[in-house]
Order: sequence, then structure tokens, then C-alpha cells
Amino acid sequence: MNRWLRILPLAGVLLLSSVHRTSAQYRGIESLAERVTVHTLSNGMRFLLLERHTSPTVSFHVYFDVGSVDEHLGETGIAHLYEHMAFKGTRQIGTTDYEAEVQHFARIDQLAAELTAERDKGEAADEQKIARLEAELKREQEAAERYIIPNEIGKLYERHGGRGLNAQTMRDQTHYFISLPANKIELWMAIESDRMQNTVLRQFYKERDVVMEELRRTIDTNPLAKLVLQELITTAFRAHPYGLHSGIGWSSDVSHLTRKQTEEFFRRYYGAANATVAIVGDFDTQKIIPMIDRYFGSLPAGQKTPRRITVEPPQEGERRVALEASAQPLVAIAFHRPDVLHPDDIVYDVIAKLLSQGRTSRFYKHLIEGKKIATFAQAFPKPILITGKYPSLFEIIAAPVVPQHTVQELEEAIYEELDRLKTEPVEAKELQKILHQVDAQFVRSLRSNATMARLLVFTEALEGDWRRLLTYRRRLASVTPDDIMRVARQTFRKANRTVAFITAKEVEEAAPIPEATPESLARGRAILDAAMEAIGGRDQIARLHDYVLKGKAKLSFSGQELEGETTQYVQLPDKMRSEVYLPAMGQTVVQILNGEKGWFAQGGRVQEAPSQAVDQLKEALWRNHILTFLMTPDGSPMAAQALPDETIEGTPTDVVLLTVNESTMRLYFDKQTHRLLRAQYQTTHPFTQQKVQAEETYSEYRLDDGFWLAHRIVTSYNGEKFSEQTMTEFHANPGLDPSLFEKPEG
Amino acid sequence: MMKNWPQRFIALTLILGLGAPISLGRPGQKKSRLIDRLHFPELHFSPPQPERVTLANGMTVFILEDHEIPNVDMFAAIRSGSVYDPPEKIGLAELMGMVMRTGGTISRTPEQINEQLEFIAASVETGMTREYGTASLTALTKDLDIALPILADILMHPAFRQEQLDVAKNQMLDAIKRRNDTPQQIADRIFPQLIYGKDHPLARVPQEETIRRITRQDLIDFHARFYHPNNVILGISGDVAKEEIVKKVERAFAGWEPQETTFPPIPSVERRYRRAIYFIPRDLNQTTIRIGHIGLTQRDPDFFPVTVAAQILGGGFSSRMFNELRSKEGLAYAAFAGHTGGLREPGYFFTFSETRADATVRAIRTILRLLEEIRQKPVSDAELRIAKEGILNSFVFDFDSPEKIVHRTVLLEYFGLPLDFLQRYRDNVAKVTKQDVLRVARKYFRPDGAMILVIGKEEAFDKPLSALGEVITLDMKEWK
Repeated sequence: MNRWLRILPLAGVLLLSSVHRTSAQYRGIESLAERVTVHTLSNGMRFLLLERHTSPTVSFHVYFDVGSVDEHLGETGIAHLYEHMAFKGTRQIGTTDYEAEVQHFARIDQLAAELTAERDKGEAADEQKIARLEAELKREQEAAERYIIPNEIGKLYERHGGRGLNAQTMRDQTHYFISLPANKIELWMAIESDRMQNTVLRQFYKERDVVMEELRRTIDTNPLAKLVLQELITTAFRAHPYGLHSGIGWSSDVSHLTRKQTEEFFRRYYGAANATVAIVGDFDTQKIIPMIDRYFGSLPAGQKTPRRITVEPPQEGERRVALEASAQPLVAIAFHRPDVLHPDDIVYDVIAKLLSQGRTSRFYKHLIEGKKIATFAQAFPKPILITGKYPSLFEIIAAPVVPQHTVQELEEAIYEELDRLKTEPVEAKELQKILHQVDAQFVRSLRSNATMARLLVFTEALEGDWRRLLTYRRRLASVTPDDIMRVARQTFRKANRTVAFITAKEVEEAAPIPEATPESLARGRAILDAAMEAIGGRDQIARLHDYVLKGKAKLSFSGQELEGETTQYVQLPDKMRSEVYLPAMGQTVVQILNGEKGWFAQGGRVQEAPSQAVDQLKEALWRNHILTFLMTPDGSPMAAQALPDETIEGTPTDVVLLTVNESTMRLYFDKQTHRLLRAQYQTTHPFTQQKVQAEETYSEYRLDDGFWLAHRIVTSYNGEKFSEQTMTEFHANPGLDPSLFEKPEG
Repeated sequence: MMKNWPQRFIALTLILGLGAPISLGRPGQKKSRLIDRLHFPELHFSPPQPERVTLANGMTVFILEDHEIPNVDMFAAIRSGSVYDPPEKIGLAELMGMVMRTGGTISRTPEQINEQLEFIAASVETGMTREYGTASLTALTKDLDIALPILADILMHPAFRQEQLDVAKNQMLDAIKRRNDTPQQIADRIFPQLIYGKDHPLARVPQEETIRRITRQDLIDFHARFYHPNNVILGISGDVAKEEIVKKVERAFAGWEPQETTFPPIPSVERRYRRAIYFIPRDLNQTTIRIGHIGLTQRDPDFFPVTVAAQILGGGFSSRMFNELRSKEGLAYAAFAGHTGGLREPGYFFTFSETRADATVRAIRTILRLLEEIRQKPVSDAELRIAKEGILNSFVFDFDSPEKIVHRTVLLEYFGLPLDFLQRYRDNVAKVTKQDVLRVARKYFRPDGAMILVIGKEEAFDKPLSALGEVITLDMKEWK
């Protein structure tokens, strides 16, 4: 029965070589004309089959004509969530007993709905009810999970030698892919035809949480992705659903998606009529077709995805959107352009390549190497994750070299390059280079089953005919310098552009602090006590009278990096000597504080510190000591008020507002370890002498001479990183020589 | 959006050339499913063998003609490697490998090389590994006459321009600064040092001061010492005709004279098993654990049963480690075992896991118990079958392109392994028996003599590490 597959790799190779020996010149993609078979089933499902007998392997690529562009507000993110669910198995796969398992689904759905409804009440929600519902939901989920075989689709494919199993949800489509040894074609048929009709959305609410987490990780905590995938696109489109959201959905929508809704989405869009498949590799087309018919022929056709009817009206003025974030500045510029089937589509491809493909492109030579204004500058003919089913955008993403250059300067430099395209005809040699690169790229894509499968299926399903691959080079070769000038003029206009950029976060007005109560003060004290315990205990800290800290520090200021080795001698309560050796200058800078006096020494010159500087040294001694040991240098009391808990990068923390000498610091302690993770306070910038909001983060706690201390401290001012310190040594109570704190010799 | 399939495991199997993981049976399955009733035809498969030619200048060339597309790939291994770095200048070979390409040649500036190659959409790159130098080329057939002379020029007449050397040194210094960023990087670097010895050429790493000492003259000297045609094994695949390409190669490398090279001996690896627990403190909620000891070379006939035994122990989603540590106990995010299959010196056996901090000691004990169990009684028939199936089924992907085949052939020749090693590997894996697995597990898996490296936050551990024995805390100032 399974004799359909006979593998003759050597014969295949020989046959191919004799065919190809004849043509000497470019013979890339054209060779496909006779080799691709299109097989369409009566339910509308379409298969593109390309034999390649180089090795006994086969790549499969399935394209469903549904993506996040087909979503509506209120259920954004559903296409992506379903893609996750598609790996959870079917009635047969991923379960030991589907009938028993499914008994629990109705109850789980009901509990999840009740839980959502209660949570939606916000402040008025009944916490006890939530806890009860959560517990019951968990029990019910566990009951259902008794029957599951986790990740069985993945296990089956891997057991049979599969490589590269994955899927991706894009705006215009969702695609699923894998490569298998050539004798396992039927395994693919069995699994994929099964999951096209019998997908079971098991562990739905757990997976929804996974997706929420992914959303948080990829968009919310990643300013670059947020700028490009969300801010730019939602601003550039006012009407068309490309601009609805980032592609993963709005988190409030995703958190409300239900199993029923998602299953309906699957039923509506995952019918055979919406599916296109490419199979590339070592098989016999005539023998594989009956198998395709057998496995996929009886699948319901379903409906084709309707075309979105909303058309984006012409843009009539520049749109600018800023994203405040603690990240390096970045600019993303988008211009409206037509869809992928428009004759000018290819011109945009050429322009993008001219601008940024390779180390000899215009952006690279002029912006990165020449003006040294950009660290990165890339042009995209279509936005990331958009393939151009509908009119979309030509995008440019670039980062300035900071602080020498600003986003504005970089923007101007980019527009200069775009203006050149409007006025200066492109040289023949530049176009020639691009043609060569496209030739080579096509030729090389032919040597990978997986790449070919993807190219074929995308061209067929998106552009209506895979043969457009064959004409791509001809279309590209026919682009003239005039075409480029014409398209540049009509596209790269100020009124047609949207600019999104990252700016440094402005210092936030501190949130109003709740009035201190006896409870909040007691709790604040308790948090500090626990934290002192984690350092090594209050008694031990109280016994400290002098200490030495050695380390390395790296300062970034005004684009300069300065490295130094630091030694700090402290004698409590009011003496400090700080030495910073700067290898770059071959000098040591010494600062001394002794009660109300202070001195600076550098390169043999000694200077008495003015009173303002003495105050700053004092402040530094106090702050550093408090942040290291949670006690004042002279043992005087501090008011510690507990504030509401916060979560820092996923770690739940206790928050304490510390008031010392009328100034305050906000401290964040890891709830589990009681270690200080972060501190915020106002201070004076050591170089600019301006008031700034400082934030320090602490990590790499290690035991050193009896104390658990952070060995890495990163300090930023107004959201910009200023210094990074690593501690290399700590000595407690060494009995320091008092002369260390005297006025140094000249 | 892409889902995160266990990338790290996939990377691991690639490195080790191990097979894919598989699932165990399904207890309680009610009726037989279509998916279990499928019958798959056998896969007959004999990958093509490249032809071997020795040129008059001593260069060894492998050629695999494949005319599917008009493109040519080359890969060369050059007898050298960072094992030959002088101890005070570790990093020299690597720098040489980088700057060879970026620093241009005597007659071509770096810019000229970039322009020329990009115009024809070709690439030429060079590099250095611990045990060999590399060079590669990709070009359309019609452009080979432009790209090949550039490759030859770079190999024969690199200029090592100072400006590009400075850039490369800065990149390396930067990498040294960042190499303690993740526990993964730390373990990857330090675990081999614990096994082979900190300063052994197979494990040592460059330091800031060793990089700073390296001068342009050092690069020139290193190149002059090792880069001779008789030390080059060049693999060519794609759209070439044998006689013609041999002539082209001869012409491109004309004037390159063979020269006797002395390769200083590499200190041989001490085969020792001793239990030691090394600890590196890091403030992390996740603990990185490596357990292992010296292993064997791929030449050793026992290499095959050891591969199968490691697969059963920790080779994938159905392995004992994965089931015990992840599926059953939920202790670990990752749990794998493998063998690095040494080429000239013995490789090492290791387990790899990442666990919740509060399950650290329990996870280590579980791994040690599993290591002991596989030594105590024979594995089951099902385990053996599934492990072998996993290895054998995905095997074809190691041969799925002419470039891959040639690349491997070059390395097999370089290390003196039989050129049909991989084909034999398949047969050798197929014939492994339960008794073989038991025998090699007893001989090569030594839980009592295993090195244990732990990176994490000890106060968050379920028990102090000292519960396992004497703990040596590594001073990162000495192991930077």
C-alpha cells in the first residue's frame, strides 16, 4: 500500500544535471516553469508540488488566508491566539481520552467567564469570590489535564525526524511549516488533515495567559517593537484595519477571548477553501496526489475570507507620534504605498535595496560610514509582518549616533537621501548590482526545500499565481531610473508620511504619597528589618565602624565612556576618602570628607572643597551607606513608610519610602529574598549640577566579609544610564588609619 | 508570532549530531488511532561522495558536482587553530582569522573587496576555531572567476591593516566584557575548563591582557607559519565540472608554495574521574547545572552505544531526564544529556539542566540517581527502539545539501576520520543492543566521578550544596 514512495536520489541528481547542463547563463527561477504542479481539490484547497531529489527530505508549508487584518475591535489578537491553540492537538492527538476530557470544558468555560466578569468590576470586585473561582477553575483544569499528552504534535513530528516545526501569524495570513524525512509524508498528511477539522482547544485559558505574557514581552517591554509594530502603524492608518493594533492584539481584548469565540474563528477561517500548501522535496508527484485527495479531499470547504472593504483615505498632512521610553532614540518613518499587485510594487523593492542592502548601499555609505550619523538605517518596501495584500507602507527605521546626533538631524539626512532619489537618476551600475543580488538570491533559494516552499505558497496565495515568481526578475530588470524618480516623487512627500520616534522619558511627577499611618510605618520598619537580616543582621551592621569598598566603574556621559577603578574608605560616622583611578588619563582623583571639611586632589594638586561640595560629599556618604546597609552612618533613626507593593520586571517587591533629613528615597525590596533591588531619589547630577531623578538597580548579591552585598549597581539619571559599578572587594572593620582622611600632601 | 520551540535543545542536537527526541507510549489510550497505525516505507538513502584530488602544491580538494542551480560553494579548513596560540597571546589565531578578511590584501583595499563582492552578490569569509582555520565562498557560477581570486588573495596575501585590527581587537575586548552576562555563557566557558584543565588549549579563553599584547606582526607571523597550501583542505560543491574547477583553483593559487610546518604537540588530556562540586554565585531565580566528566573520541567504537545511552538518558522530550525532571516533577525548564564526541582528543559527557532555584539540590540528586540507574539495569526495549528511531529518522537532514556533505567531508579528512564515517555512524547506531548500552553506561557514566558545576543563588536553594559534598566556590576574578 505504501509503495508509492521510491527514493532514487542518485538518479534524480543525474537527471537534473543532464537537463541543466545545456543552458550556460542565468537559469534560476525559470527552471521552475515545468517543474511545479498545481493540484486543486474540489473543496478549493490548493497544493503546489515541486520535486527536488537532492536529498530524501520534504518541506511542507501551509498558508491560511487569514491574519490579524481580518480581526475586529473587541477580539483583536484572536488570529494569533488560535495559532497557538493549533499546537494543542486534536480529538485523537494530545489526549488519552477525548470524551472524558471534554466533559470538563463547559464548566471550565463557565468558571473562566465568571472570573472575568468579577475581575472586570475593578475596584468593586469581590476578592474572596475571585479567589474561590480561581481555586475551582484550577481544580477543574487539573481534572481535564489528567487526560492530556502535552505537546504531542511536536513529539510525533520529532520522533519521526522532523525539523523546524513552527508557525507565524502575520497581518495578511497565518502559516505553518515543517520538514520531514521523505518517507514520512503520510505522517504530515494525517496530522495536518486532522487538525484542519478536529482541533481541540485544550488548555485554552492557560495558553491565553501564555499569549498575554508574550504580548507583554514582545510589545509592552520592548520600546523598539512597540514603536514600529504598534505606534507607527496605528498612526499611519486611520481607517484600514492594518492600523487596528500591533498584530498580537490589545491586551484587554486578548484577556477576554473565550474558547467558544476562538473555536468559531477556527471554523470560519480554517476551511479548505482558505488553505494553500506547498510541498517541496523528494517525492513522486503522481503518487502523492492520490494521498492528498484521500486525506484532504473530504474536508469541508468553508468560506473564503471576505476582503476588507475599508479603504484608507489619502493622507493630507504629516503625522508625528512620540513614544516616551527609557531606550536609545530611534526613528521610524512610513509613507503610504500601493498593494503588492500594483505595477509599482517592484519599484519600491528596488528603492529599498538601493537605500540599505549591504555595505555598499546608500544609507550605509552615507549615513553610517560617511556622516557617521546613524548606527543603523534600514528601508523596508513593506512593513514588518505585512505582505501587502492591501495598500500599505514603505518604511525606514534608523537610530542616530548619540549624543553627537539627534533624531531630527538623522531624519533630515534621510530626507536628503530620499530627495536625491527624486532628482538624480540612479546610475546604471547601481541598478545592475541590485539585479545581480536578486538573481543570486533566487538562485540560492532554490537550493532549500523550505525556502522554496515558502516562496511558492506565498506567491500563489497572496499574489494569485505562483508564476509571478518567474516574472519577478523581468519586472525588476525593466525598472528604469525614471520609474524610480517618478515613484520617489509621488511617495516621499511630507504630507504622505508618518514619523514615530522614541524620546527619553520625562521625569514623572511623583505620584501622591499616601499619608503615613502607624500601620504603614510599622510595616515599613518590618520590611527594613527583614532586609537587614538578609544583609547579615542588624547587630553586625551596627558593629561596623569602618570599611573599604573596591570596584570598577564605568561612566557614560555625553557619549563619552569613562572607566575607572574606585576605592572608597569610610570611617563612620562622617569620614570618607574616595579614590578613582582613571587609566585613560593615568591619574587618580581623590575626594576626602572629614566632618565639615573636604579636599580634592588630582595630579599633585590639592584643593579645599567649597561648602557646597562638602554637602554633596556628605550626601553621597549618607546615601551610599544607607543604600548598602539600611542604617544611617550615625545610627540616627529614619522614618520608613510602607507603600503599596509593586512588581519590578516580574519580581514582586515591597516598597518603602525612607525619609532622612527631610529628603526621601523610594526603595524596592524583593519579596522573596528581601534584598534591595532598586532605589529612586532626587539628587544633583555630578557633572551638570542640575537636579535629576536618580534610579539605582542592584544585582549580583554575594557574601563578602560577612555581608551580603550587591556587586553590581547601575545608576541612571532621568532614565539615561549614567554609571555601572562592580564591586570587587569589601573589607569590614579593617581599622583604617585616620591619616587617610586628613588633607592630602600636595 | 514565532513560538519558542526548545531552540536550545535543537542547537544542542545540531552540535552533537544527535537525533530528534520522541514520545513514549500512551498509557490508558482507549482505541488505536490512525496516527499509530500508519506504516512508513523504508528510506533508502546513499548520499553522494565528493571526489578527492590532491594538487601539486599539496592542497587537498574535495569536489561534489551538483548542477541543480548555477551556484558554487567552497569551504576550506586550514591546519591551525587557536590551540596554537602562545599562552601569553591567547586570541591571536581568532584575530588573525577575522582580520584576514576585513583587513584587505596587499593589492586590494577592504572597500574594494566589499564593492567587488557585493556587485556580484558573492561572499567570501574567513574565521578561526579552536582546532582549524576556516575560509568560505559563495558565488554564482558565472562570477566564480571574480570571487575565487579574491578568496585566494585573502588566503595568500592578507595585509592585516592596522585600522581593521584595532576594530577587531575592540570587538573581542567587548565580547570579553560581556561573556559573563548569562549563566549559560559562564557554564559554556568554565565547564570545559574544569574537565580539561583551565589552561588546556582545548578549553582556555582569551583575556583582556592577552588580547592587548597582540600586534599586527603577530598576525603576520601566525599566517606565515600555518597558511600553506599543503595545510589546506578545500571543499567545493555546486555547479562545477571537476577538471575545470581544479584548473581554476590551481590558477587562483598559483605561486603558493608548500612548506613544511611543525605543529607543536597539544598536551594530551588527562583521563580522570573525580567528584567535585563547583559553585558560582549569581543572583538568579534559576539555577544552571552541568554534570559530567571526560568522555571518548568519535574514533572509539564505543562512541555509538554511548550516543544511544545518552539519548535514552537525556536526549529529548521522551528521555528519562526530561520525564523525571520536567514532566513529572516540574523541577527543570531544561534537562538534557549528551556527549561532545571529541575529534582529536576525548570529548566529554555532560548533562545540562536549568531548574528552579528551590529545586536545585533535588534536581542534582535526581540526575545522579538516573545516571546510577542506567548503570544498574538494562534499558527497556521500547526505550532503545525510540532512542534509535529518533537518531536515525532525522539523520537525513545531515546530508540534505551538497554544501553540508562537503563541509563534513572536509572536517572528516581534517581529523583523519574515515570519509564514510557518517554512513557508518548510522549502521553502528542501528546495531546497538541493550547489552551494549548497559556495558558502556557502566564504563563511561561515572556519577561518583562526575564534576558538578552549579550557578545560582545558594540561599534560595532547597538545601545547601554542601549536602552533596565539599563545595568549591569559584572566584570569578580567577575564572574571568
